[in-house]
Amino acid sequence: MAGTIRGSLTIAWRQAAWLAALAIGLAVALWIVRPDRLPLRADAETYALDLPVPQVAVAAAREFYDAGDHIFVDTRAGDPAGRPAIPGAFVIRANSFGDDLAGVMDFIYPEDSLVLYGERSPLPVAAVAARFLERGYENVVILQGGLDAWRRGGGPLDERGVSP
Amino acid sequence: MSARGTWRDLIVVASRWAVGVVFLVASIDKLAHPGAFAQNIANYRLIPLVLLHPFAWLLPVVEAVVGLALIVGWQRRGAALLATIMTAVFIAAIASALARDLDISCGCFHTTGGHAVGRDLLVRDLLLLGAALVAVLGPPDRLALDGRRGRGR
Repeated sequence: MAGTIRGSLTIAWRQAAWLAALAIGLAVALWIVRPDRLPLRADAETYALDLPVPQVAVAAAREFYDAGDHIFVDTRAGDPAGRPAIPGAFVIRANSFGDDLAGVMDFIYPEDSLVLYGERSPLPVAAVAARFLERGYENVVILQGGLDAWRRGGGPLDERGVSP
Repeated sequence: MSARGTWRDLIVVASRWAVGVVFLVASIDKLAHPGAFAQNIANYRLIPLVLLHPFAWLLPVVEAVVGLALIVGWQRRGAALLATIMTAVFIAAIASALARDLDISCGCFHTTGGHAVGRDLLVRDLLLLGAALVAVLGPPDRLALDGRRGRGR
C-alpha cells in the first residue's frame, strides 16, 4: 500500500513539473501576444491599497528624521541583528508585536508620531500599523517604498542593524 | 472487473471530472479580466506587489491547464497534484482573510461581484481538496487519456 502511494506520488510530481512548465510557457506566450497584458510590476496606487494609515514619501520622512520629532519603527520580520536599518529605529514586528512593544514602552508613547517601515511593500507594515491603532496610537504613517526607497533616496542607514 | 473495482473507478472518474470542471470554469473569467483578478488577489494582502501581476497572470493559465488535463485524463496524477497544492493555498488564503476579518470577494469564479470570503468557502475547498487527493492517489481509470494510452499509471 505504502509502495503504491509512493509510486503514485513519484509519477504525480513528475507530471506536475511537466504541466507547470507547460503552463508557464503558455502564460509567457499569452503575455507576449495579448494587447491587454498586465505590466510586470504592479504599483500600489493602481490597486488603491486599503491601508489603515497614510503613507509618506521618502522626502517627507527624511524631514521628519532630520527634525527628530518622529520615531521610526522597523517592522520587518525576523532577526534584526546585522541587517541595515534606519539609525535609531525601534524593532516592532507583527508576529511579536506585544513583546516587542512591551520592551520599548518607556520610549514610545501613544501621543508620539511614528513612521513605520518594512522592506518595500506596505502590506506587511499595515498589519503592525493596525495594531498600533488598536493600542491608541493615532499619529502613525508608513514609509512609502520601505527601506528600499529610503536607501535609494539617500537616507542614512546603520549597516550594523538595530537591537530588538 | 469486480463491482468494488467498478465503484472505485467511478469515484476516481467523478473526482477527476469534478475538480477539472471547477478549475476550468474558475479560470475563464480570470483569463478574460487579468487586471480585475489582480485586484482580487491584492485584496487578500498576502502577496507583495512585485509578485502580484506575474501571479495574477500565471494562476488562471495553470488552472486552465490543470482543468483540461483532469477532464480528459491526461497526466492525471500530476494535474491532480497541482490542483491539490493550489486548493491548499486557497484554503490558507481564505482562512487568513477570515482570521483578519477581511470583508472581500473571494475571486474564485468571478473577478467582479463574486462570492464573499466566508466559512462556506472553506468547506467547499476542503471538499475540493479531498476530490483532488482521490485523483492523485486513486487507481488508473479506463476513461482517462492516460489509461487508454497506458501511461501515467
